[in-house]
Amino acid sequence: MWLLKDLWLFMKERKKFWLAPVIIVLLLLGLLIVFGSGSAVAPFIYSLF
Amino acid sequence: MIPFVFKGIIWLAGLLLGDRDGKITGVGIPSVQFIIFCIFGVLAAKQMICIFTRKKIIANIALSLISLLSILFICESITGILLYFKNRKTSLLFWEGTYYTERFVQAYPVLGFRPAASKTVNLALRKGNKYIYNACYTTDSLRRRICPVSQYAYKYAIFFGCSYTFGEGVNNEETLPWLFGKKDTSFRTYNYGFGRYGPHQMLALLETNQLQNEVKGDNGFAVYTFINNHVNRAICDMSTFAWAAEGPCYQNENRHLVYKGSFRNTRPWRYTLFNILSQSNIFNYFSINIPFRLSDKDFEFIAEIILAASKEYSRQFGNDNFFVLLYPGTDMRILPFLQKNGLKVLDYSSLFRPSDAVYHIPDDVHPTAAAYKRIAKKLAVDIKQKM
Repeated sequence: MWLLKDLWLFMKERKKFWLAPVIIVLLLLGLLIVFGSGSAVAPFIYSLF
Repeated sequence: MIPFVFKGIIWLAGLLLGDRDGKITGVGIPSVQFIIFCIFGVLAAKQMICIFTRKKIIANIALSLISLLSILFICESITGILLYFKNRKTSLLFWEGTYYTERFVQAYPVLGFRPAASKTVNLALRKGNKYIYNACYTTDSLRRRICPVSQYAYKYAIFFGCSYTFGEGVNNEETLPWLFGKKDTSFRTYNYGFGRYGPHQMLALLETNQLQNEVKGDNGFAVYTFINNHVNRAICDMSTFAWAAEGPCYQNENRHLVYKGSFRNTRPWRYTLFNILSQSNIFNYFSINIPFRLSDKDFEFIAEIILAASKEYSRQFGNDNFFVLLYPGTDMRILPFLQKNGLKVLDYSSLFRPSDAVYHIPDDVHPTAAAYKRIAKKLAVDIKQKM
């Protein structure tokens, strides 16, 4: 949390608010990987059509 | 000047590391060039935005979007390279045979697809130069995989399910219905299973076909073989949508299951989203599925579909000899919902370990003839006791 707070202060200080969406998306991607990783069980290998 | 230097470096790397086909570790040189040009494009665009746009907020928004897209692109490219190495083992697997050249699988409304009628094809699975199996599939005029016909048979045994019932990877005389028919010759067996099918196809088959006109025998039973992946198929999650999207979509309306059409047509936005996300290297590398996990509600829904199918069977055949066979290794979360619905369950979940080499085809998830033999033997005994 201190990292996020630091980042926010940095953006506020330097007026680099355009970094915010990038950081948010990367955070969401990280959460997706942490919580969603491995949720697709070993692919059911079927002979395709 | 700089992009040309980078182009030279990549070409040299390809020369040293590759086979001069324009690809390094599966990533095409044009793709790498495109990434690099994108990075330079971002930097150039940033400068242009600052020069030509007086309003800083617009410049910031534009820069934000461009940076976001660039980072996502880079993440996708990196995971694409990692995925190439990860998939190298399965990329050695090839399916071939008249199964494809003679179009054994045919598109069909409601069910999504079905096997061809009165056809004999072969399907081989090859790993490199070594054949894992080369199986013969034969269907009758009603598109069911053939089963033995005994002169002593006076009862019917209907088998519903997926490729485990159909017998993918094994010959005609090695499938579960065939082996059961040989074990207990008083039954005439019918194999209504097919690859990629789930309980929703079983229900659709019962609702759209009058099976009592296709099946001979005064008395008998039906058995549906359940495996874990049937839940994924019946809800059409992202891991199965590529081949399950044409299947029947059922929805609960006033405690009654109603056929709404195919998943593709019933949930077009979900289908589009899955179509986009399933092409993401990030999603594929980390095996991310949507939904992340199957919930109890999903299992409950499957149990409702199976219950509807059993009721339809009872209506057509005039008896309640409908059984649900839980294949070895089944997720037992389904059991309480099946029991709550009053369904007759044959719990073979602990009969053997499906991961044992003798019971599953190598480099494939499907059972061997030995597995089917074991199940057929137990089924013959259990059916005698329960009927």
